[in-house]
Amino acid sequence: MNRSRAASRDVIGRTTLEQQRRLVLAVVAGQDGGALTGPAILRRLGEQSADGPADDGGAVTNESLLYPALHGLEADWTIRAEWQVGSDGVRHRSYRARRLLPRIAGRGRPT
Amino acid sequence: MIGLLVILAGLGVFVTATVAIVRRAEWRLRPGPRNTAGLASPSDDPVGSYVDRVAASLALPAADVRDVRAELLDHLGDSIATLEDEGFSHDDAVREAVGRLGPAPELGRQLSAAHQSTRRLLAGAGGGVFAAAGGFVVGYLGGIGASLLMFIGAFLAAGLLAKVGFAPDLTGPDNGSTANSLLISMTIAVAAATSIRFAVRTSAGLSRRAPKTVAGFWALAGVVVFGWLAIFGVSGQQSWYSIPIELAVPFIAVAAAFCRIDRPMPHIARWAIASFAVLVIVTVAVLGMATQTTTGSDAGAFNGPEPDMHFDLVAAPAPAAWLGEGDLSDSGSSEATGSFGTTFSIDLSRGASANWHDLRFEAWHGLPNGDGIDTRYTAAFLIQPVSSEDSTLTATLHFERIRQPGSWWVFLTGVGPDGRRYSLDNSGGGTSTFNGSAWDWITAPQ
Repeated sequence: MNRSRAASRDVIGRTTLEQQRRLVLAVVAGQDGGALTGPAILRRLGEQSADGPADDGGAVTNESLLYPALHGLEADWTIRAEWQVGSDGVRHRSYRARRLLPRIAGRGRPT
Repeated sequence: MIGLLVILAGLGVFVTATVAIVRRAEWRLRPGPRNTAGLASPSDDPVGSYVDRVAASLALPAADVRDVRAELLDHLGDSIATLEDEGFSHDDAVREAVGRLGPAPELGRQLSAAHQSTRRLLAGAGGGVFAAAGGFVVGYLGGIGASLLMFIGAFLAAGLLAKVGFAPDLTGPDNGSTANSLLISMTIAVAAATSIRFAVRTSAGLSRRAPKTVAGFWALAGVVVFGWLAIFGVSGQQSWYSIPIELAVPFIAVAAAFCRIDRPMPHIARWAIASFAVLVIVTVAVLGMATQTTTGSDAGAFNGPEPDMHFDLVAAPAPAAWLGEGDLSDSGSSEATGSFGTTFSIDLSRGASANWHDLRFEAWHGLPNGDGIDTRYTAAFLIQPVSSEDSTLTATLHFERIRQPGSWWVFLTGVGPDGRRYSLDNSGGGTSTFNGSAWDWITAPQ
């Protein structure tokens, strides 16, 4: 079991806001500069918890802490939020990790 | 000249940056076309109703409420679609999606707390201080402009009244001290109000708090800083007309922090700059014309006794037996040292000084234009014992701490061998105006 799986399982139970912030930050930071909407982040958390033991229950049960966690991280300047127009023509609020310096083109993190 | 340009350019950049940061912070406070903060509109749509209830429980600026609303609607739309794909009926999907976000008031409370982070609070405090400093500059310029506008209006009104035979003396008997003191006090009052208002609106926007939440802090800061500045800090000409305005500055700061603070400030920068430029030009023109028609000067020193100047009111002249010719030198020399008083020095020969004790400088009210002692007064209004070093007698008289010194004459007096006080020398006369803080004026000896 890798570390992100272990962390994701926390979301199954009644996670605290601080735990939820760590989980959300792990997902957003894992995008390597890419942006994710709230529902997309929730799905990632669900997928990670689904990979865990069966007694984890449903990852979506603690959805109520998703936006407080996201907005708190944004308020602390850890992540950045922006409105983007999706392929469906609808504006979605997306989140990406905030970097101190812009990433140099062609020198992305190896996958 | 280059230094002046650099200062003006720096001031311009500072004011521009201030207005920019205030407007940027204020953008968050502006009510949008559908500001539902504080309102829970009844809606048949359970999703809309839920989002309205969340928005109603948010203690955030309007722009943030709009963002939260839009994001929650987007999220719930996505959730409902996903649940329907999983086989839920529409109604069940709506119920489930809304239920997963939890009770609306709790979500609103958590979102409010998330937005109002310590980092944003610090940003709000820093931005507020910056905006307060810039607001003071903007308000100071605005206060000067408003005061000049008022004075121009008063002069125009006086001109019209003069045509019908009633000519009020706007400069007054105090050579314009009242007008100057009003200009200073009104400028400080406007600057304080602008500064506090800039600070409250900026810090509220940056810290994501309602303006009334932060108004108390800035009101207290305004009372302390601007109250001190108006009452103790700013020295200059004062009058009984300006003192109430200066004493009211702390209350003005509180009013600026609370009164209609939820309303956006009018940003009239371009109009203000244009109006200010016009005002300066008109004022310079008016003052130029006024200077051409003014004759004589009411300031400066005047020396030399005249036979009918009533110097005998001060004391009888010192008998020649105790003060011979040549015993005094450098007589009447004075050194003006601005707000630190006026120093008088007289050299008295060693031989003559043995005849005199209790030497002191006395200031007596004089008539305008150096026409001698004002006979309405029977005593000196300022007395300072001399300090002697070798043969030089020195004393500093603080005319600037007397409310209405006007014209004065200063004499060196001393008690002779017969126990009577005599006037040894006339040290010259002059005119002065009060120069101090509001507190100095209130506590002045007369």
